[in-house]
Amino acid sequence: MSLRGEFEKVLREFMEATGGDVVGCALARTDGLMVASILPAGIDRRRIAALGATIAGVAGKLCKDLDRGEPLRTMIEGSKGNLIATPIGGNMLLVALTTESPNLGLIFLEMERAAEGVKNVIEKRR
Amino acid sequence: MAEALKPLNTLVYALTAALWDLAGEGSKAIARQVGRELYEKLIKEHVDLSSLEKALESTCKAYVDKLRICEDASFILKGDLIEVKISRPIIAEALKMLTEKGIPLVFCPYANVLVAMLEDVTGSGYDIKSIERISEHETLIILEKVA
Repeated sequence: MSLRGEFEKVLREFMEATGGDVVGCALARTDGLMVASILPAGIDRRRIAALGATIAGVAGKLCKDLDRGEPLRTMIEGSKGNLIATPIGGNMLLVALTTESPNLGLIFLEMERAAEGVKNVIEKRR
Repeated sequence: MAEALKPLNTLVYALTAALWDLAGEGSKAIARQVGRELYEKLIKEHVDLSSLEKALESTCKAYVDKLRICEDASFILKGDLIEVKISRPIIAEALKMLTEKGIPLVFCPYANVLVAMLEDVTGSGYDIKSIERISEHETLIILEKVA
């Protein structure tokens, strides 16, 4: 399986584990480069990577300037659902699009699991 | 620096410094998008998309002959790495000021345009591995294929 295929498998498992609360997700680099994604039709892959990286970058700068430590996640609540961007190490970000009223506790937990999954894929390839 | 280029260099410096100050690492994604816009508006029409080498060659030629944004531009392909040397870029002074301030050259339009072009030609993602002023008049851009 290709590296992208392995990442997509992790993303698919993440979405399934949230019971439908995550409707799309992407693995992007902190410089805005898309790595892998599973997104609903009509959402531009390149754009979500760029926007996710931008908000995560701004969040990182805010945390640093205001002495809030490392940013764990950035969440934007929209009237139709949320966008959550989580740095997962190695210059990578996990970006998730959720439904309107998701189980956030479960999503955060599963994001941590997915982050481990991504790290395992990278380790295995080394 | 030629007096005529001072406003341009100051603009590039100010935009990059402000972006880096406010958006930190997030400014890399913004710079990538800026590169794509510049590529679409200024470079794409001059690029020979028939092969990677020809695409790089025609982009370098467009930098030098069509847009006159540097005195010379050359490249070396090393597997997944591409080294592009830009000689006497018209934003040399901005690059110098940014380097002196310790601000990464994330906004470098030459590099970000190349990334957009390479993504178009190959369908793969490219990382700006480094941008370094190697002498008073030369900047070395190293790009790496990542996906």
